Amino acid sequence: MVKRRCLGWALLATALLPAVALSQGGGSIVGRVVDAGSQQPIPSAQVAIVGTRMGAVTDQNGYYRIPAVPAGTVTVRAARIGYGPATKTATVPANDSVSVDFALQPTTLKLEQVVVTGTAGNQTRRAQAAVVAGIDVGDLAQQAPVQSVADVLQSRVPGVSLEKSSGTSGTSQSIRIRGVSSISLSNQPLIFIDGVRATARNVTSGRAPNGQQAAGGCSGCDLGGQAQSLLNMIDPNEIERIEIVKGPAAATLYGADASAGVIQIITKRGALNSGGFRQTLNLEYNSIDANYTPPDNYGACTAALVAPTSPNPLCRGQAVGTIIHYNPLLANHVFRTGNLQSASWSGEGGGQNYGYFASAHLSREVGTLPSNWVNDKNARFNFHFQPSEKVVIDAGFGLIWTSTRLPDQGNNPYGFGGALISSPLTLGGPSNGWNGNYRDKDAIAAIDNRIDNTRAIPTAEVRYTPVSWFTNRLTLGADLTRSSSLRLVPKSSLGAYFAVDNNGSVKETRYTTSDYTLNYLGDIKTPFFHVANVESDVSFGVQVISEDLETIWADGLGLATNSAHAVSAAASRSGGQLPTVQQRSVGYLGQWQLAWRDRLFLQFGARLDKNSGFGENVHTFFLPKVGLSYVLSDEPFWGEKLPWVSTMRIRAAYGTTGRAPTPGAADQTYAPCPYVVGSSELAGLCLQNPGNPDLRPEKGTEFEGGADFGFFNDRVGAEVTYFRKTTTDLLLQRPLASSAGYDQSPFVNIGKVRNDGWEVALHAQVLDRRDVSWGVNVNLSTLHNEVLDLGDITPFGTTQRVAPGVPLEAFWGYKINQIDVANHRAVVSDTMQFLGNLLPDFEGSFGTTVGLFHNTVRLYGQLDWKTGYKVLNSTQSFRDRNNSVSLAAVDSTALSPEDRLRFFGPYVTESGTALGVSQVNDPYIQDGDFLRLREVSATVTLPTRFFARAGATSASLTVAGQNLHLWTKYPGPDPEIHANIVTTEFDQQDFLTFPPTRRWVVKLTLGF
Amino acid sequence: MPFLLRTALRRTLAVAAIVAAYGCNDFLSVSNTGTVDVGEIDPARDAETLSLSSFQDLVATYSFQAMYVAWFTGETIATETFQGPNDFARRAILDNDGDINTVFGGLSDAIVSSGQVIDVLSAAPGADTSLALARAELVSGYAFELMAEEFCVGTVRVGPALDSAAMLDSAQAHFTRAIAIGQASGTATGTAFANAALVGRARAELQAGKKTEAATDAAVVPADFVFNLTYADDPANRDRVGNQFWARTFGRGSISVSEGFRSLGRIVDSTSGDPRVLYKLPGSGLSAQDGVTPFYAQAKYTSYAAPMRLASGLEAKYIAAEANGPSAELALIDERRAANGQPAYSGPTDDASVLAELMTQKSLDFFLEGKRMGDFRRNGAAVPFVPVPGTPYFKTNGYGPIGDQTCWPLPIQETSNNPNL
Repeated sequence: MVKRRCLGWALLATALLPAVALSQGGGSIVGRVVDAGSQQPIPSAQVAIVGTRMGAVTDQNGYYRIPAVPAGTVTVRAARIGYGPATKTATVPANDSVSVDFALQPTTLKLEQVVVTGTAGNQTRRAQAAVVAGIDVGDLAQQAPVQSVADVLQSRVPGVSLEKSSGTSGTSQSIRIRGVSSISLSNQPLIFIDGVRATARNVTSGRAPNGQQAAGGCSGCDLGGQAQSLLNMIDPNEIERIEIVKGPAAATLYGADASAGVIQIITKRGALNSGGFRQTLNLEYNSIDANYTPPDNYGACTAALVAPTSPNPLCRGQAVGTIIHYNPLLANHVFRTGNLQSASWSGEGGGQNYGYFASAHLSREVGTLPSNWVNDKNARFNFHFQPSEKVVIDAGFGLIWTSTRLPDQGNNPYGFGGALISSPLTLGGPSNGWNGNYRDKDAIAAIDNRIDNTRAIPTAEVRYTPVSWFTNRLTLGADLTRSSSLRLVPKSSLGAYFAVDNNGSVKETRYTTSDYTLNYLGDIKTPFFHVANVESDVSFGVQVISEDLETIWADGLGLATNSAHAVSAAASRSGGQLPTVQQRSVGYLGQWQLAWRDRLFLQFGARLDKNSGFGENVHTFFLPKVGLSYVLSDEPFWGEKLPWVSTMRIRAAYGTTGRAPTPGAADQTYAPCPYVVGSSELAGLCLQNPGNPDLRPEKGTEFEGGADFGFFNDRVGAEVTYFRKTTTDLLLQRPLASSAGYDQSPFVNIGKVRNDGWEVALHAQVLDRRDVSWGVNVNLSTLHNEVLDLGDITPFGTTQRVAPGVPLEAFWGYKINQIDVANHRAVVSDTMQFLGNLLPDFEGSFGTTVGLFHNTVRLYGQLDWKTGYKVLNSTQSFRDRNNSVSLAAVDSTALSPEDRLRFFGPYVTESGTALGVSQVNDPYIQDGDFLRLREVSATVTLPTRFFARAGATSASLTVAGQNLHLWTKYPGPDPEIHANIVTTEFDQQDFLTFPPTRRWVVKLTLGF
Repeated sequence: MPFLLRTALRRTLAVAAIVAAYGCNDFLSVSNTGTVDVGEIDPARDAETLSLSSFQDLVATYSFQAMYVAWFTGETIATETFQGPNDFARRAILDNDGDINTVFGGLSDAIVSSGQVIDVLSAAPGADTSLALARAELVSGYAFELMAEEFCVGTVRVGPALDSAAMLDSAQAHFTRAIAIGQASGTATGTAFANAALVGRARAELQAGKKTEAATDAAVVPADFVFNLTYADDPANRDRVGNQFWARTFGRGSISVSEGFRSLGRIVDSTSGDPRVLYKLPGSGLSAQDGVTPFYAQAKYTSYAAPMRLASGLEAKYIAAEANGPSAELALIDERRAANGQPAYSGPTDDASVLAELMTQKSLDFFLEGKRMGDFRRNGAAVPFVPVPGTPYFKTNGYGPIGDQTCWPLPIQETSNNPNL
């Protein structure tokens, strides 16, 4: 008892000691941090006393102050992303200050940078066996026109591929890291915010997540494939940086589900001793252009339409067969110039042992289509507190409110996109050139698709270091999102809508997502027995994740008035709760790292994961990993051998993942389904899934190896990585013969998929002088995706196929081998063949930043490209064949004889079998290669006297453009369109969807 | 490491491990509210529910069957852009058309679900008078009947290929048991099941060429007997409980009455034409999904809850007349013409002409009721308005001429995944 009491007092005394020491008279360290080349001040540089938690952050002019430093000799270290660190020794006098200035060398390699994502133990980049990519969002936002997290991620990191679904404001995108390796499970990376799991699902309107039919009975209507992304709700202005783990390191800290990678968003924190309260105000205006000219629709006048009494104004009085054309989208001025107006405020500051960051953001975006807008509000408060040398607390709270209205568009023939397949022959009649009676611009715009989100993200992290060699880190947090969607189809006396919708219909859906995270990570650092210069770092921990998704819906049909559109006010009502989806996982992790002279690092790690996906038979995954990192250039001999190679590090990592199927996948089940008796509907049972008691998790293994190079004092840096990811025991829904009588096919473990490729990131600070600076970034990545084995499953899929020897969901069909004009036929292959990749096999970006006139003018630009993939141009296919409204369909002379045969046949196989036109898709599976001028900006530092009255101490003006030019041979509007991104990850289809828009941005940034 | 700290650390870790081990499995146990695990079902206790659910499988698939038969045999045209319905309407169905899997899958669901009930109840006490069993046998009978009429080759439960004769034999066997149990039950419902099964068995016998047996069975069915399949207007379950003819007319605009039937039929609210085929003119407020084709909406089924006639005394009369030959056919022809305001038949009286007129009257009486596929396969050109092979399809771009299929292929989902085919 006495000993415990002593321990308690001792611990308390230990905790208080630094505070006591701090409160006694000490000196202070002051100074300035500048760029060694240009001599420009470096703001937000971290200056710390080595071996303590005492430090400060430089202000806008590069100045810093560390108060209350005990008198004596200390080592001071200055560091900033993009620069090599520097240390100096200083003697701190009692009750006086000492000046320590730093001139940091720009560096393109960031080996000393601390990364927190996917790391345990030593968190510096030099110790990591696998690549952890980072994006400095604060710097990026100052020069690039980024309005969302998707913009931040677009083409910045090799191996991370983004594609937007459409140009509608507020819609989502798909994110892939190193290809796709699962057919049945999600290939989207996990998202974490400050160490807490965040939901990144898409939300749509009027349709429940499980694809519940729309009330009007019209499948494929509503928003088509559009959805809103919860990821893009997060304001980039509150993000410090984003770290991305692509490879096997992810699984150890983030679990089996991290096989598709992890994206961690790290929000801004206030820093200690930040020198007062600093505020930033951003005012931004975007002009948004649809960046699209829709094609005309054509038709040939019939005898009835040329008659004097014909209602068709273009055909009336013309000769039979006259070809007319009409463009409902242009004629009715459907597209408008949209705009974005936003204001963002942030404030940060800090004292001796605390720091804080607060931000608020308002924006309103009006899209280029009618009935499209997005209103966002964000708020965040982060607090950093160091009550003692041993304890650090970080707490944060983010709030997000969004309200979005989306137009009927996308894979929806009755939305605005339907005007691409409507016929001019209907002019003057009920359809009047649109697709559907009275379904014109006003009728489509009157449909209200609304999605409102409220989101709260509380996070907390406590780091407790009772002794210098033992660190504990506890992270708690939640992502609580409530989404409500509404689809209101107003009453239409003309019958503009489908079926009962004309009496007014309303569909409401409520989604509640609750994600909770608890992480504990302990780290013990000791010398490795008595081996000289070798340090042992043992990390251990547990992670608990809980995810719940609840969905409740209600439909109402028949409204008295459009304003009284609550479901309860409808004449007939139906509703229900969709299955609650619950997912739980618990992971125990351990890692042992050996470090020799802080330059050679060996890692051995493992994780035990338990997941609820297997129902009662909870399965345990064992996920080992091993890695190596060796900073060769730290060896004494290095300077002599290759003096121009200032840095070289080699690294390699091997890791495993295992992914559980969705909950209940292994079970044999019935589905509740109704039956009718008389006039009543009662609850019945339908055979659903035969189940598979032998179901196992998907297993993945990944090897990653590479090297980091620095040349010419790290003015030029390169990171080269090769990766090879193999997934076995692929979870596939084995197609069941229809005669088996089940609605669903059972999951089986069959198949093997490989993704491999190279990633290269080049950074060069070409010039760094007082009056001019020039930096260049190049990212390159290749991807080879291949299904290696399908076991005994027959290859399946028609236009997109899963088959061994080709990429996953590759395009497939009869290949046109010869155009035989003489015999008026197009000759195709005897059997269906591989026609092209779904995913690009080569992607890259080129970015450059130029600073002029002491960096008062900064110019930025980015080009990016994708090659080696195909797009299914269904819009053109429908215009040509199904609806016959293209010029080629109507005018037999519009195409050359060769092209006529290519697109319209007749088709015959090599062996002479005639095929129907609809059986040959080859002409519409088209190259999607492109080069895009993605971003351009110019930022000018304004004289502060213009804003001094407002109290501003700094000001800059940015003019930027986004999506400025596209070079491509793809005949559709844009090869980056996805018509069905909501329903399938394997979508590369252009169907009735409008392309990404072009933006011009003006932004004023004031500092106070 | 100090002793106290080591001890504290060890104890903390031990406690954590105990708590984790105890709580872990409870934490990982989640509820999956959307499905029913098979272990919760007791086939004996839940037989009535399973029987009624199986009957709904037949009800659900029947209106789909009838809709595709209507396209294939020329009762309607496909006024939509998607390929599947147009392939049916062109008599050129591809095995990778999703629609053929919808049709075959629906019949398969009915066969498997009813088979499950039959397996359990046949061996249970009271099987001889069990209405649940009779109902399941009826479902099986009609599912086999439809598969035999529609598909060139069938299969059940991932088994080997079955020709039409084998499928018709199965149908007859199930109908025979339904008749026996229904009649033995002594209830009105049982009697209705028995009569519906009698009509079904007569239909199968006629299809199999057993005319004497067909005529015998048909003669027993009361003349005023009607057995309807009932539907419901439930927006959340359209495919399961809704009338698909109405869904595709009102909800999608896919079905337009063909020119041939319009030539005999009657516009709604007019007085000329045969009242057994009612339709609306373009501009009625409904329009074609393809946005171009003039839309003649059928007016037989006018709501999601409109019932469909599965079996009737009238159908039995037609079966008996065809089985008994030309004189019986002529008598029925005149009876049906008189009942619908038409003068007596005055056309040629050779056997072929009389059969053709009988088929015409039957087509009118059972317009959009899914009977024409069997009639067409049995009597070929005698059935009127079936699209003629080689003639141009009314949509030119993207579609070739009318094909020459007389029955439907198995879907590729079956042929690729059934190891016994």
